Amino acid sequence: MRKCLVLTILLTAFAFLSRAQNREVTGTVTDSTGAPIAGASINVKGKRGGTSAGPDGHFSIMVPPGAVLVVSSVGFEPQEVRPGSDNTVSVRLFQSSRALSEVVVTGVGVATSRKKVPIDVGTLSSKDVAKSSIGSVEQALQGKIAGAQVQFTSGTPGTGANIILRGLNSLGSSYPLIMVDGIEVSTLNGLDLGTVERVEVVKGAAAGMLYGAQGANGVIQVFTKHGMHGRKLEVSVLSQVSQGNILKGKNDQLAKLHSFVTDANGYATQGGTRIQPDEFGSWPSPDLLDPSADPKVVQNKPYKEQTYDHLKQAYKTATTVNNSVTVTGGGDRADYAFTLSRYNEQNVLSNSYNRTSVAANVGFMLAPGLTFRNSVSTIFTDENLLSGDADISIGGTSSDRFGLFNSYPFVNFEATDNATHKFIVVNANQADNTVKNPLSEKQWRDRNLNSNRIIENANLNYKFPKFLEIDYKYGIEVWNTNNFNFYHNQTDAPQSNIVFWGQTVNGSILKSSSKLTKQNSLLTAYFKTDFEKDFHLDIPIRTVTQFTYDWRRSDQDGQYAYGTNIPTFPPFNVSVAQSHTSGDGVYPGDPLGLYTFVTYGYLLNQTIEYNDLIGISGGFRSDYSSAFGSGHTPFTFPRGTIYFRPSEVVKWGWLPDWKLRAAYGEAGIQPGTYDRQNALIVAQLGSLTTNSNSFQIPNTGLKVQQSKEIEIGTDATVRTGWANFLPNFNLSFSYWHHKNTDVIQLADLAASSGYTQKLDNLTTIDSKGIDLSLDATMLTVKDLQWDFGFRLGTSRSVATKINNGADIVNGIFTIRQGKPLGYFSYQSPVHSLDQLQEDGKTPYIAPADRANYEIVNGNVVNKSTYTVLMGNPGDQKAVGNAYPDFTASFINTFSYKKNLTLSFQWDWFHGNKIYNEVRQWLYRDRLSSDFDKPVNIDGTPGAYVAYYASLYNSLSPSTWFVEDGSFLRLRDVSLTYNLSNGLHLKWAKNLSLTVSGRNLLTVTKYSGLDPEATTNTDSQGNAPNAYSGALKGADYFQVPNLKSYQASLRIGF
Amino acid sequence: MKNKNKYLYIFLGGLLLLGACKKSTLDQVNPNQPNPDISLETEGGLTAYAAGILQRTIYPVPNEGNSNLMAIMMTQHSIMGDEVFLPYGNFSFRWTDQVYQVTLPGGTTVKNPFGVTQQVSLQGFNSRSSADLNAFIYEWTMSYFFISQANTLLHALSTPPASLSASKVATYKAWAYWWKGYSYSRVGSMYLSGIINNDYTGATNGNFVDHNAIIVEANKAFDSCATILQSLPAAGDDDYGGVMGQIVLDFNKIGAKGYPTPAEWLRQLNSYKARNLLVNKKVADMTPADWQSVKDLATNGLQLGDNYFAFGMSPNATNDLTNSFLHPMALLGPNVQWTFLSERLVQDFKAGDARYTRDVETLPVNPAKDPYYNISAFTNIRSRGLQFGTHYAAIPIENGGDWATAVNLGTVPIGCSPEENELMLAEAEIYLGNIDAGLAHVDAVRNSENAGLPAVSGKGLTLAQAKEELRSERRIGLFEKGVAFYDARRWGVTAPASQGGGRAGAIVYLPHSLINTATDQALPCFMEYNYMDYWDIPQNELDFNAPATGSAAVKN
Repeated sequence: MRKCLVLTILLTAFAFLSRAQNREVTGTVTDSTGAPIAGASINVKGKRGGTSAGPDGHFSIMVPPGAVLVVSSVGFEPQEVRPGSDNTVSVRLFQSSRALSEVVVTGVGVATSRKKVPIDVGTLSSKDVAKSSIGSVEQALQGKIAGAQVQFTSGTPGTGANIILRGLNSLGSSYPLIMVDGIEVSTLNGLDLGTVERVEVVKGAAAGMLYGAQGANGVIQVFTKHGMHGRKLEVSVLSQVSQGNILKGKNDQLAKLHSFVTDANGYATQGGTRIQPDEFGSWPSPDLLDPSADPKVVQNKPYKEQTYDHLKQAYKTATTVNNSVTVTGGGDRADYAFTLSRYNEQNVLSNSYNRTSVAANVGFMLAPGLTFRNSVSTIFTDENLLSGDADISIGGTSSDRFGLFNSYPFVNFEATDNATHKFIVVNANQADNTVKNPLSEKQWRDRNLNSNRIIENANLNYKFPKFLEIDYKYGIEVWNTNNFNFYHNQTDAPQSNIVFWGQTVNGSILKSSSKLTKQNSLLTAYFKTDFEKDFHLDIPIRTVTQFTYDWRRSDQDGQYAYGTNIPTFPPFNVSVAQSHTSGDGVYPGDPLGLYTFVTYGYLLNQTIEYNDLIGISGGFRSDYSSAFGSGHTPFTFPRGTIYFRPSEVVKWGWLPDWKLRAAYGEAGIQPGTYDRQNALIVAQLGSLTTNSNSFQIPNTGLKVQQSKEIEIGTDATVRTGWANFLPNFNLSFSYWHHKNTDVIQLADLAASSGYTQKLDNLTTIDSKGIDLSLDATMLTVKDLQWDFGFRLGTSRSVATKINNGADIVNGIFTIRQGKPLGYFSYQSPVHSLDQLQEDGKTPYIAPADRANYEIVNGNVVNKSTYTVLMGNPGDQKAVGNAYPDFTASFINTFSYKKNLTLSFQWDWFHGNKIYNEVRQWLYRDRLSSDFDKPVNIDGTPGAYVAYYASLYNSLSPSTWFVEDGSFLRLRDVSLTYNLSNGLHLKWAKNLSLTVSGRNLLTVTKYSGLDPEATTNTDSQGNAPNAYSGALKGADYFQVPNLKSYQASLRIGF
Repeated sequence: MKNKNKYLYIFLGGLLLLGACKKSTLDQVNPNQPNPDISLETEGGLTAYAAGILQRTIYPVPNEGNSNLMAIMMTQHSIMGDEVFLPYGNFSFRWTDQVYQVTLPGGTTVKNPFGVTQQVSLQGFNSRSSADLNAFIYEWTMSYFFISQANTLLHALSTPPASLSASKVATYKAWAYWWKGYSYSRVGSMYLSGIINNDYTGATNGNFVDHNAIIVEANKAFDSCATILQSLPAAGDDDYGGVMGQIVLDFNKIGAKGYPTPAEWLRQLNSYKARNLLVNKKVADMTPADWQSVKDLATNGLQLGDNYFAFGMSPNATNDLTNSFLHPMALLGPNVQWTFLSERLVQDFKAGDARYTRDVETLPVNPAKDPYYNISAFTNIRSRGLQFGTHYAAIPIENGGDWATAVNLGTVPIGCSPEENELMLAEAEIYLGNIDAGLAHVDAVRNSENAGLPAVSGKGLTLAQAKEELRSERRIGLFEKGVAFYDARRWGVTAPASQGGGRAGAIVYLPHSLINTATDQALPCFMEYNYMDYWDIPQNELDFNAPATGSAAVKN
């Protein structure tokens, strides 16, 4: 309580602004070629308001005596000028590819010029967004920030991106803290790009510490569009349309030949009789030529049956339409911005995802120095996507499009039966008799999910005339979701005795609604001094003291109603179901149906700057959390930063700006909100609610995991002085090192204890890497300008310590002490004739037998059985890492006469491996195209079935299926023509037309559809619950990303 | 101005006072799950916890997700007992079911595709990284989960809520001891050794004791259960019924009441003790004293018509433990088709058995398809082994059969069934020389299952004929009742051929391409299973619980 009192006392000193005598200054603003810069801003340094240059570059402004003018324009380096006695100035601005004048907020607490920011803050402003990105902030960020891996692992609409900022800090989620205008929100996914002015990305704990025990994964802060005082009403309209198809890769994954037992006419047979589809389109399983009877069996028979391209049958062209209108402006004491947007994305499989966003951001100057700003975004989403058996409410796990691949090619998914004219829930393959035709899902299932998400943010700020600034923010995010999931009663459906959608043939309906509320209350006091101005001392020292009190609370509530045994006639609702249940949460058995999380704390930070030469800051943050109850002592995390700008000392013309910087910070990752409590599992069994021990023993001693980061870096601007080629470039480089201790690990236990796992702080993870950004103007020749941007991020996260040194094993994934996270180490084919077993002594092949073996494609093959000799299951071989050695982007923009802009961006992931589970599944039924490829065994080439079938390994992980996942992808290519310049339109300030493409080209050796569409699920589609961050890189039937073409029109007036 | 300042003040100050600083808001209690420290001190909590012991069968098997350990364990026993077969790799079933070799009628020997014995395969997968392919984890894990929950229940009952009647306390305690006895029986009958753990805190110990010692512990728990049950009226009282009516879950209820009376339960304990003796000794090693013990126990064991503990399903597919999939009868049914009726099971029917007509149908040959299963007869599925083929299927329960279902019908016994007890009596009598007395029990089982077969008792059958009647009845009459593997092991069928194991005249549905005939044929072969007798301790245990000095063997 005492803290609160101190804060309120800080609000006591109020005073008035003083006023002074003004004069009028006129001038012109031109670029390096002498051409006028229309719309350049001219401001008096240290004052609000200002003016902008007209179309001819002229301006006039009232200035107080001795004032300094700051002249700036987008894309140019700002300049400060002191008007002469004649009250005129002429300003020439130099182009910059990355304005150092930029002001950043995130990670530094107080708005700071980039020149003096002591940490690495990535920024993306709305004008730098790739033109092919539609509607999504995550798409816009892809490839733009060095060291930020933003990846879409599925082409399903509405899927959020997987975001990793600078490697991994924990075994759990790598998702960073997301803020909108200074307030924490739940996710970046779903925020409309149309409302976004700029995005700042702080990648590590050295800065994230400002955000407390949740900040260890870094912070992404979104700033919404707002108007400006004294600006006329401006309207901008954006209309985009996009058409996309799934990425299919360049390799055909499916075999074109087969090795069935055939009849005299070459048709596949079973039991000697040709197989034919029944009246429902389902086929018997053909007999396979058995290589154990004859090792020389080859896969070389063309299909006599008609075959179908299942991917083509299932995945259609999807259209996305995005329209948004933004209105901005401002009066004397107020500014406003309103955005309305509507986004509609079709799914390549079926149905669609829709989003409507309404955002308003208004600011008022209530009194001199006292401003109030309120921004509110309302996001309505509505989707009716179908997810196969992925629905967790029916016990399903992953978005399983299994049947599209693992069906014999003669199965026709588009076949309908004569009686019902419906797609058949076909048994695609006898051995998997219950595999379903994905196309039939929409006939027997309806679902939709709609949500209303409101992000409200109120900000009251008072700047005292001197010293003190008080800022109060309150944000609340309310997210209501309604879910409806209806599996029809399929008792009358053809084949319903064999296959049906849902859990029971009698149908089910799940209706649920949930409400997530996130509140954030932040009170900050800044105490600022300028020794020269405030104390009239001849010491150029400025100080800022920041004190923030930060309170956050999340609440989640949900209810469901579930009915089974649905009538075959409408209406279809839970009430008409023969039996129904209800409960908390959003589906039966939801483990976290209800939760509340509260955390609060304060931070104190002191910054001292000497001139623009050097600045240091230091502080700490202290937090309480409801994960630990009221009895605990707060966790306290220190931080400190320093920068030094040699360019202030040595005045080299070619190096106008050079900064060295270093930062240290600590942050934490808290355990789950109830992880420390002793709890029993609740399960409804029959009509009784039962309790049981979990297989995880509760750990009431669980601690917060700690992340310590050091970041060292430099930022420099180099001006070569060359006229046309490479006149200037900016470079930013950071080396970072995180050490994460007490990382929460789900440690295995001996089952005889009655438990098999325990959450405990047992692991240490060490991550390091570099981030590099280069922005250059490569060429300026007459009307042509070429700008180039390069981003590079490397990271390697190693589990340096694990409990007992014992591997953390989770399904197909292993985390091994001393090895990087995402490490693939699997059973492997034997690679040499004298290879030893894991004991290091026993050879796999006795020397006397070696003549019976030879090496084929690097694998040891038995010359009499034609099978590959697999190593022992316990003899694991490391084959790389799911995380790339580096990610890089190349961003090029060519502009001609400022009217025509061509830009393209390549994204490069290098050195990551993918475990291709799809390919392994295809080996089961000899459906992989590998089976068509001849190999040379015992001197005779042939596509030997025995060889490939022996590599299948029955879905047990094998290094054979781990592939290089490196890729170079043309993320964006776009051509924009600015009609307003070219056509000298009077009625529009801006009118531009863009055609663009996304993901048009991928260069990769990976044999699957899309090297980005990977997941952390095992061969049965189960995602490990505890290690979502540390495990990755499995290709399991995800819907691939789309290759798409867009056309967009922007109008501003 | 002044007023504005005041409002600002009030606004900011007010927000701060709204409770943001209240430390008590940090005390958030899990609103979803009960805390056992509180719930187990109430009668409702004890009931919920006692009933919840079966929820422990639901376990997120690595690489498989939430699965039912009991269904997997039962399926392992069924496939190794060759009453059904399962050709898929999930849960290591394919390797657990991997017959070593088959000798064709012409004398050709065909090894399984791996060319190694079940022991080599299963031991190769005995590591945590083998995930679901480690066959050894299922029965072990399930058993110790049950033991742990039973220990906690007994601990809570050491100071029961004051309001709880003596009958209720006794009922809960009997329940806990029953599950301990059952679980130790499972460990002792399947693994080389085990841990005796009567701790409820989550601790364990490294003293691995021989499987016979585990059986002793199992019988001890059964005896504790019996002592408690004897304190109750034979037919139970209202308190007993009140508790049992709840903790025996709806979908597991069979018979009129759905749960056994104390008297029936006591008989169940005797039957299980008889099974513990019978199945853990090779039949060749059984002494007359052993047979006499079996007879004595079984004489006081389950009677035909008794209620027993069963594992069932909920027809509406909700709120049961099967995930509408993991139950022996669902696995064999048309909707799942994981297990298939073994040719070796069907050949054990006696001619004229009504159960054959009721339960078995012949799969037609391609292009004809079976109406229930939508498949034709098949051989050597995916070239995974000759045992993986059949031209039979089980008629679903919903279509008049007894063994398989697509709509979640039917139950299988958790412990012993009355039929098993009858056949233990039969076997003991036959081996004690009382052939007709023994065969009378065989007839009793056939009658109770409406086999419609003529009586064999009193027909002057020889000892060998009597043993064959018994053998075939244990195969057919106890199908899906949990004894197939135990029988195969104790009768020596699963032993290596070099030690007299294997089955001569085993029918195998052979691919025509292999035997050079026009069509696929079901022909008698010699089948060498060569399965392990007792399993290794899973490495998942040993990685974190190294055997203490003096421990019994943990690996074959």
